[in-house]
Amino acid sequence: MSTAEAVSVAHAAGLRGWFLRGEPGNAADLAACLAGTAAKDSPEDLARLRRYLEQRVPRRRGAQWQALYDARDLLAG
Amino acid sequence: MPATFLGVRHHSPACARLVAEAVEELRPAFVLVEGPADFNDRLDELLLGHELPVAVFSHYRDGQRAVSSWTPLCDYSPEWVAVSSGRAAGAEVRFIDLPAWHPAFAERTNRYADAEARYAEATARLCRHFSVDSVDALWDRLFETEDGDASGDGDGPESGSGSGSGSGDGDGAARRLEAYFDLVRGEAEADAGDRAREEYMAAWVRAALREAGERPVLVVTGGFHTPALRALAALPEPCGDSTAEDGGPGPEGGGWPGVPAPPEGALAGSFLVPYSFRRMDAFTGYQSGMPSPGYYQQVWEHGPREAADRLLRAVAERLRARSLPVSTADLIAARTQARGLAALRGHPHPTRLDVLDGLAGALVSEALDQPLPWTRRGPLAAGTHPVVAEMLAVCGGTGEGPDGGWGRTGRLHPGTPAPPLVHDVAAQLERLGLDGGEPVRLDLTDARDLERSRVLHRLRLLGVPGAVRTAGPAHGADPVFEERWEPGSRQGREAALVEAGAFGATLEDAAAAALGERAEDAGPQADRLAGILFDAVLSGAGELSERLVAVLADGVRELNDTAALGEVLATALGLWRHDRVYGVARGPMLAAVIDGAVSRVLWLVEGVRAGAGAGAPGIPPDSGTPAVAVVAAPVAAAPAAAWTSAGCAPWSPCGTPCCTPGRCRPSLRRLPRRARGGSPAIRTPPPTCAARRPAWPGCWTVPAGPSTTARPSARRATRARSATGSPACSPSPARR
Repeated sequence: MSTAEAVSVAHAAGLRGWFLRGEPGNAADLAACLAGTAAKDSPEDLARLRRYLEQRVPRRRGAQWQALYDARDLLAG
Repeated sequence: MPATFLGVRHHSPACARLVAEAVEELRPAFVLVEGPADFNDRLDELLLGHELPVAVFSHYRDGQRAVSSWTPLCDYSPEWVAVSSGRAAGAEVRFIDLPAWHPAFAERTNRYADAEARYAEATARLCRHFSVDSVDALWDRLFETEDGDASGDGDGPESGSGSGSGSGDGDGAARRLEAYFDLVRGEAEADAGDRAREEYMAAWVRAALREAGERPVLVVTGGFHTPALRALAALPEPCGDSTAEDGGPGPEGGGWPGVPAPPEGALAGSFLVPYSFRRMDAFTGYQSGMPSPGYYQQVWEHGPREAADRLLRAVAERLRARSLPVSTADLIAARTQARGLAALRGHPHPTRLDVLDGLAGALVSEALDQPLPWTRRGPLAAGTHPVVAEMLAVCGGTGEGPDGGWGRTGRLHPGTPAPPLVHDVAAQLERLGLDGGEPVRLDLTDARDLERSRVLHRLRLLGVPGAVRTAGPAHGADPVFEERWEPGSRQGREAALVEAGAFGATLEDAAAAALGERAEDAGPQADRLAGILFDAVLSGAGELSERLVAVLADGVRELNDTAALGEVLATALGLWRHDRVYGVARGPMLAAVIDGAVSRVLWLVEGVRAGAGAGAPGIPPDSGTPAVAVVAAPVAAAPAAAWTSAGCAPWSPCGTPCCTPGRCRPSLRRLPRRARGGSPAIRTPPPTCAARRPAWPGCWTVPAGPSTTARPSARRATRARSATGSPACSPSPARR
């Protein structure tokens, strides 16, 4: 993921949270926005991302990681 | 004449050179060396003409504790040089440190560990000042360079100097060493163990000074102790109290301090054992001395300048032998970087770390998950980049290359007395009636026969010839309860036992240590790991050694072949659930292996879905179906089994319970349980995994391709795994 892509994901996550709920973006927004930017046009990348969310993320500690794990179904595609 | 104190770092070629020069110059009457004083009467044994490295192996056992420790010596050990060259110069050589069993050495298994590692404050400050990552880098920079002068204002490097004449001016190096160790010792308050040792050593120094009169005395100890020793030795004689405190019999004839005797009823002893570079390199953390013995052997033999060139060459050859691509351009880049780094860091020529950093910079083009291993101390982490791991293996002399690499394995002179393992084995064989040499038939369900089988397997693991197994269980799910052993050739048995003596003092410890070493060598190869796992079960070693458990679990986590992993998992799971014969059911070793294997399979299977090209390395897209079929059943069963220990929900892969609790439980309870009052092992075959779940494979219709079959298993398993967190759920029907 390039810096530009990271910025784009962050921007999209924040925008989504603010537009839909009037809150800062949360982990669920991040999961929903990842597909559009990070994994666009590439099923391989999407599969890698899904694998990461499914298996590596639950092993991380911290509430945000857990929230991201719980929101993994929101990854589109 | 006052004593000359020479503080050294253990296993440092530069210090070894200084010691040789000092002996040459002083021609001392006495050479006092940091080493076990109880070995003094047997110094001759040390000088029989062994092939180094060898170690003095000390063991101790009493009611409370059992200790074993090593004093490793190699060609470039300053202690070894002091002993051998001191003796050659006609001096009287004495070891002056406390015996290894003394409480001062509690928790230490390597006498020649770096003491300053335990007092890290001053070294950390020095590292910051010189902007280096670790003590090893600091040491290389200050002392192991050819002219040894880090500031570069010396006479310039002596080019072309051969072996043994590396360090430019001995005086300068000695002064720097002194300053370095004064600084390290500076504010550090030595712990009780070190204080006791220093007092004892000082008593020897005073005695030697008295004895020597006007003749010179050379004292070679770890540099950390030198400042304290110098101060203590200058004190007036405290009326022999210091030795009496240590439990010794007080000054004996001639005024030498007594050697403390082990307490009544304790068993203690020291023996010479052959050693190897890979074992010297294996000490970690507080136990470690200088790393990379293979490299420093080259420094000792060829000088540091030559050693750096040889390192570059050896790494390239080794990587190419492993079919890892190393182009000429890579090597040019590596050499350029090494030179540049050396210049940048102010070294007169590339040191070990300059070369390693240069090689890493040129050869590793992927992102690394962790810092390069030589920037810190500790064992090599799992998942280290293969090129980096190979580089360290070359340095450590731990790899097996076509030419044997830089590894050295010591060999004892045939006339050396035998280590304790030899006696332990003899006693065990006699107790179990195995010393006759006739064929043995063992019923594994009989407690005594099982013990005999374990002893025979342990001997087999240590490579001790004498008995050959002709029949017995061949794998974890093999329902065979009888083993037959035929007597084999006993040639070389004694020698093999002496060599194995370096692994430990008792057969159990030695076998577990040997197996751990084999597991570390095996790496991610399923068949070798499976063999080691089964050997661990057969010899009962897995439950003894935490290191072995960790190594096996790490190895499983790196396997890439899903089918092989499934087989390992099926076997391990079968044993973990049902084994009553070897008593490994619910054991920590298999639990760790199963845990590692399940996560790994889930990881790999998830990758299958990515389709052609992006799949897991072990699963070519067209062969996805059989591989998935092999792993599906054990993976599906494994989490459920793993959770029964945590008391979690019933779950079966087909979504419906495979048997109703009411019907299932009584029949399972009929199985004898080792845990329940130690009932004798059963004589009927324990139900294997396959027999216990007849319906499950049928649930797995494999209709289309990898994607449809892999997903349900992975999904469901993951989901079910996330349920493990709930502690309140009821015990599953599979729980026994």
